[in-house]
Formats: sequence, structure tokens, C-alpha cells
Amino acid sequence: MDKKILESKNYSLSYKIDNKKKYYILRNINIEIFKKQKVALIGESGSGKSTFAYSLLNLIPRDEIDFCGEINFYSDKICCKKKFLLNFSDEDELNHIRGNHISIIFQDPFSALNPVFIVGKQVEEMILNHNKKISNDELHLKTKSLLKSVKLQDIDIVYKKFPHQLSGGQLQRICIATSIANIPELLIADEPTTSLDAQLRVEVLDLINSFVKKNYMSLLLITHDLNIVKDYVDYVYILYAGEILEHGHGNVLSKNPLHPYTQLLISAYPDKTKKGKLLPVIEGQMPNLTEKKFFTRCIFFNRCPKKIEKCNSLVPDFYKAGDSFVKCFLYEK
Amino acid sequence: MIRLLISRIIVLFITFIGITLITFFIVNISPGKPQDVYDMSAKISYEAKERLIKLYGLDKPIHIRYFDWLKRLFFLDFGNSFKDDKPVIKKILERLPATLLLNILSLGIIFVLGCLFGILASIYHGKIFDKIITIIIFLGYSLPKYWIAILCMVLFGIKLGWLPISGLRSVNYDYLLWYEKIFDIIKHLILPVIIASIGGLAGLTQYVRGNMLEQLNSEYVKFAKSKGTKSFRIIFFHMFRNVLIPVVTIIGLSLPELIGGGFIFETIFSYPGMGRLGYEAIMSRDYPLIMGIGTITAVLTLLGNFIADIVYVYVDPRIRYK
Amino acid sequence: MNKTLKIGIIIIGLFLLVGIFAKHISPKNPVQQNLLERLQPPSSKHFFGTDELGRDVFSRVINSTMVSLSVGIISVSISVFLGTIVGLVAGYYGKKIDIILMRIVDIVLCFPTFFLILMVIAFLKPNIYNIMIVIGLTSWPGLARYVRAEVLSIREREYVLSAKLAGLGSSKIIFYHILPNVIVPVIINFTLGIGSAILIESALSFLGLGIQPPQPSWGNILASGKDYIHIAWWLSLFPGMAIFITVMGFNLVGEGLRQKFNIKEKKL
Repeated sequence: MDKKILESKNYSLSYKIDNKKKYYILRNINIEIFKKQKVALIGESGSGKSTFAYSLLNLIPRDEIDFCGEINFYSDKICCKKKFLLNFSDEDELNHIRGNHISIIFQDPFSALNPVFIVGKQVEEMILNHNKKISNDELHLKTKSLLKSVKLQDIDIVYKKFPHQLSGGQLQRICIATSIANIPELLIADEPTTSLDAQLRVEVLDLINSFVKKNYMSLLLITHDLNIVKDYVDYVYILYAGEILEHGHGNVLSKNPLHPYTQLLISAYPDKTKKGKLLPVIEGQMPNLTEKKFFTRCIFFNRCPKKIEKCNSLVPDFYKAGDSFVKCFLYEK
Repeated sequence: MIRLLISRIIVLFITFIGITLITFFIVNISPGKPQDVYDMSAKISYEAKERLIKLYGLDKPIHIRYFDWLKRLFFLDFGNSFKDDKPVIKKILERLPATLLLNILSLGIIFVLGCLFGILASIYHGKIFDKIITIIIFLGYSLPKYWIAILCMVLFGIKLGWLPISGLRSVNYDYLLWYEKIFDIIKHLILPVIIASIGGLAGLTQYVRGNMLEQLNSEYVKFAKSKGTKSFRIIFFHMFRNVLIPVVTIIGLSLPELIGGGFIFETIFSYPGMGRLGYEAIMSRDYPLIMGIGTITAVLTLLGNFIADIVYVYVDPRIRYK
Repeated sequence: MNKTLKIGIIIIGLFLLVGIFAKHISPKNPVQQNLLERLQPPSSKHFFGTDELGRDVFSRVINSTMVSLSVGIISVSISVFLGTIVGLVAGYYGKKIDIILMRIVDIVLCFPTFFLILMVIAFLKPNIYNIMIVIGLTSWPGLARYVRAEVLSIREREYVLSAKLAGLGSSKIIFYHILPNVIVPVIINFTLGIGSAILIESALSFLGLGIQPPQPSWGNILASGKDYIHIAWWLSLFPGMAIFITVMGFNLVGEGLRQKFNIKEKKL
């Protein structure tokens, strides 16, 4: 077993809406990522998956949130084990980790790049932030080889383009080039393919995958689409309304989903075997996360087709079933 | 780029014609006739009046007068002032440098302080500094500037005696050494420049603050942060560059307000600029002078906006490389 | 309702009440001269002191309230009406109408509003009606530009297109689908506009081109106070404060509305 590089322990986060109200977006998240491991965090929109990704890099303005629990990052590049994010007050230390040890690819490459700077400079910024002594020629060479490695054409021309002059696919490649520039130990990809055309999705995922493999990085892939990523990842966490409901190995989980939510989620994907049939719909809506009363029962209770009486009054624990872990009373022993 | 420039220049020309139309017709259609001024002053004989009417073509139909006026305008000939018979253009050119000095200084102050206060307020969003700035913005919008001018004149000019309260030079200016001359002019400029800047400063600060806060939530800031970029660099390099682009236009648009304000401050401070000249011209119904000043201020604004437009195209890559 | 809006409404309400009941509140006749009591400092007999002709400044300030408020409200009604109509028409119909109207807007925007007003007022009789009309006729272009830009973005939205496909007439589309989208910014512009109209009116009166004495107005009280500023500060302080607080009231309401409806701070 490889070394653990990131773990979140009972991590909870809430947005402050106003003086009284809070939006409890993440609750008691326990996630572990090992070296060279590829992990997917899967959930619908509003489940809190992007918030989790952002909070790993402390990207959410501090005065907007409250949090508790811990997120630890263990790196062999930095000698000490850092208790990460929580009460991170030293900006220099944080900036040393951002982009150098952990980096992120955003969902929408159109808005992730600054519209008023040429893209080449934005890639260079990443290198410069963590290597102040690099000479101009070296910087240039390194940037160009990065752009080449993400399979961009006409590198010298692309280098001088502004974001609005490039296509979504090109921009996402530039974002990928930026995020792997310093060979981070952990790469977070926040729905990297959602805003791209269908034929580009596989290409981009392959690209990310090849970098991760080649450089022995770990990957946290955030997505709503289990089907697309199941072949790329080793381990899967299913997130619903701010809670993990099930986690297990990717292939096992996609073939044999255990939690009623996961089952519904997988059966709701269109695929060849379901041709000509109506796809099932998950009835109802996600509970309102500003109300604490929903947290005293199973969070999926109101939409669950297999609910039992117990679900309304108690919160289930994780139960081991096969190779997976499920937060559902149906698997209680 | 060149096509853009040409189309802007055509628009500029059309706007210029519009400006001359408005100036000319407001002055000439309004109820009081120019010759009335002469009726009121007994010093001018009937013959002299007739001669003046001939000279200014006041007996010709209005559209012919307009084209005559326009023709002369292209040679910068605005006619002679009714009051002292000096060429209008000469009177304006005498006053123009002082007005330009005042306005350029005010624009500089508005730009530098507006950006600075706006950025600082956005950094300390919700903190005490931000609240103070917000209150100051409100004061800037709500205070009658001429009232503040008078209060400042009393406080700094009369009660404390720190600053001179009128004109641009002291009486003994000609006897001063060169550095004393500069110091003298600066002392005279302090109050007018500050008062003239208040309104624009409030507006720009509010604008910069609001836009900086908006940038804060944008994805590109998150991405820049995730790269480990220092927050100083994110604020001044990434965010401010985006905020700065529209500021160019805003400053262009604030020009007329600035010059318009000049008509009051310059009068209050007896500042030897175009504003005071215009006020005096209006009060004495000096038609050629009013038309001249109206045209010149509007054209200055037009040019200011034109430059702002070009700079905007130049600094915003989204327009430059469409 | 947020705090800003509340304070603003209270201020405006107070001034409106003072304005409406000015005759009943004011302790003295605002135009009655009393040469024996010239330039008296504030006291229990004259709250704001007396002016150079022995008139009670408190009564004069109170009796000016309605002048300023009505000039503000009426002139801005004119300009908001014009600006909204021009903006809607230019934005909705586009093409030549748009080009022509926007050129006019550009041209008017090139003149310092205050100079334009001075110019016109100097040739007309400076009285309250002319002031209202002139301020109204000169301050609409900014709003027109703003409304037009909003309309341009709304015009292309799906629901407007579907209304067009359903055969709804232009005027109905403008009123049912487009106007409701710009109404809040227009109202905000209305309240902020009143503030600046009051400032313009008082400045005109201050320069002797506005409300003519003996009828009191905050601007002309200030004008007479200017000559006595080093011996009678109260002549300048109180009317100035009155202008400042009223304008602030309207600005607070505008800002409060902006916060409430979460409208981006744009230069209107």
C-alpha cells in the first residue's frame, strides 16, 4: 500500500448566509487519498463537491465560511506533516503548497483564465510563483514544452493569444498545462470536461490520466458522471447533499451499487442496454441544507424508494458490504 | 483597427456638427435678443447699434447666420466679444490654460485616489476602513460643492489663514523668486482642485470598489490563487487590470461634470479660468463669447471621450482582437 | 428593508412633512424684514439667527423646503420619462432610430449639464417652472443610454422572442416584457436624480439664476450668506445643511434600493 497523502477527518463546512442562517454544505466528510491513487468524488450539482475541492486549496474567502474537522496533507517534498487549511494563517506557506504540491483544473476554462492577459504569461506565472530564479530563456522553453505536452498546435501563436481568441478545448489544455507545470503530488480536476464538446471529453480525460500516470501524481476527479470516469479511477466516493453515502472501488461500485441513491444514479444513465426503455427518475428534491432538522435522519430519506422506519429517526453509520462501505441501514449487520 | 478609427472620426464629426447646432440655436432662438443688450445701454448710439447688427449679421435669416458662423468656426473665428470687442478666441485662449491645469490636476487626483480608495475599500470589505470610505462616498455625492467651497474658504482662508482664497497668483507674484512662484500657484490651486475633485472622486471610488468586489468572486481569481500567486499580485495585477479598463471610459464621461462644476468653483474662487469667463459671459449676455465657450467646452469633452474610446480599444484585448 | 433604505425614507418623510406644513411650523413670516434685528446669531428667539435684513433664517429655511423638493421631483419626473422612453425606443427598434437617438444622446452628454442649464436659464426668465423644465430637459441622456443597453440585452432573450413569435405587438412587448426588467434601475435613477436636481437648483439660486428673492430658497439664502460669511456663519451653515441632508436622504433611498434589488453599481 502506498503512502497516504491527503485525508479529511470529520470535515464540515458551512456558508454564512446572514447573521442567523447557515448553509451546511459539507458535513462529516472522511476522504483518504493515497499516493498514485486516482479518486473520484461523484455527486449532483449542489452536493458540495466543488466546495470540497475549493476548500482543499483554501480558495473560498474566509469570512464567508465556518468549518470544523481537519484536512491533512502529507507530502514528502515538504518535510513536516502539515495540518492543512484549518486555521491556515501563514499566506506564504499556503502559497507554497498551492500550485506546487496541490493544483486544480477548473470546470470552465473560459472563465478560469484572466481575460486581459495572454495565455502564455498565465502559464508562466505558475512556474515563476514557485521558481523565482528561473531565467527568461528557461522559462520560455519550459512553457513551450508544457504547451506541446498538452498537444496544442502552433505553440508560438497560441502563446500570444488572449483567452477569448481560443476555443474551449484549447483553453482547457492550457489550464491543464498550467496545473501540471510544477508536477504537483495531488491534482484536483473539478468537472474538467463538463463545458467541453462531447468528442473532446475523452481526449481531455486521457490527457489528464497520462500526466498523472507518468508523474506518479494522485488525482481527485470531481464529476457528476460515474459512467465516464469509472475506467479512469481506482476509488469512488458518492456525495449527496453534503454527505458521503457510499465509497468503494470504482469498478465494483459501478457494477454493483449498494446504496439506493447510487443504484438510482447508475440506472438513470442512458446506455445501450437501456435502449427503448424509459430512464428512471429520482423523485423529489435535495433537502434544504439551511435546516438542521434534516440532519437527524438519513439525508436521502425523503427520496429513497427503499426506506424503512428506522431511516426517519436515526442517522446510519457506514457498514461494510463486500468491498464497499455504505451509509444505509439496509446493510446493517 | 484603422476602420474602427475612421468610423469613430466620422461619428466625431457628426457629433461636432450637433454641438454647434445646439449651441447656436439655444443662444439664438431664446427670447432675449442680442441687440436688447444694446437697447439697455444708453452709451451706444443708434448708428453704432446698427453697425453692430450689420457686423454680426443679426438682420439675416437664422439658417444663413448659422452657416456663416460655422464657416468662421473652422478658422477658429468666434467673432468679437460684445463687451470689450476683443476676439472671443483670444479671450478663451487666455483662460484655457488655467482651466486645463485645474481639470488635469483634478482628473489626476480623482484617478489616483479613486483607484487607491476603491481598492483598499474592497480589500477591507466590511471592515471599518470600508465603512468610512462608504460614508465619504455618500458625503461626496450629497454635499453641495459650492457650499463646501465657501466653508473651506472661511476655514482655511479667513479663520486659519493657511491658504489664499481667490485667483491663481498673489498680488506680489511678479516679485517672487521662481520656486516661490511655483509654491504660490500650488497654494492657490489646493482648494479649487480639492473641491473640484470631490464629486468625481466619490463616483470613481464607488465604481472601483464595486468592481473589485465583483472580480473577487470570479473564477480567474480562484485559478490565480490556486497557482500560489501572492494576493498582492492578484489584487494589483489580475483584478485591478480588469477593473482599470472601464475606468478609462468613466473618466472620459466625467469630463463634462468636471468642466460644468468649474462654472461654479471658478466663480467662487475668482479663478481665472474658462468657467468664470463663461459665467460672466452668460450674466452679461455676451453672445459670441457664450457660443465660443459652449463650443470649446463641448469639443474638449468630445476629444476627451474620443481619446478615452481609443485608449479603451487599445487596453481591452477583447475589443482589440475581435 | 435594509437600514440604508429606512434612514433615507425617514429623512425624506421628515422633509416632506416640513415642506407640506411649512406655513404652520414656521414661527415667523419668512419675508418679513426687521432691520432692528439684523444678523442676530442663533438664539431661542431665532433658532437659526437672522439675516442681513433681519428675517428669521429658520422660517426661511423651512419655507424653502417645498421649493427644492418640488423642483427635484418634477424635473426628474420629466427627465426619467424622457430618458426611459428614448432608451426603450432606441434599444427596441434599433437600426436608424437607434443611431439617430444615440447620436443626440452623445451630443447632449458632451455639454456640461450645468453650463447648458446656465445658458438656457440666462435667456429665459429664471423662475421655478423654467428651472424644472430645463433641468428635466437636460438630464435625461444618461438614463436613456442605460435603459437602451439593458433593452438590447433583454431583447434577445428567449421569452421576448417567443412573445414576438406569438404575434404580440411591439408596444405590448415593450410594456409587458421589457419595461418590468428596467423599472427598478429607473426608480433608483429617479431617487438619485432628485438629489442631483436639488443640488443643481440650489446652485442656480446661489448664482442668482434660480429662485428669485424675496422668495426664499436654500440656494439664495446661501448666496446672501456668502457676503456675510465672516461675521454671520449661521447664514451659510443652516441652508447648506438642509440641502445636504435632503440630498443625502434621496441618495440613501437610491442606494438602499440598489442593495435591496442587488443591482450592479453602474454609472447611470
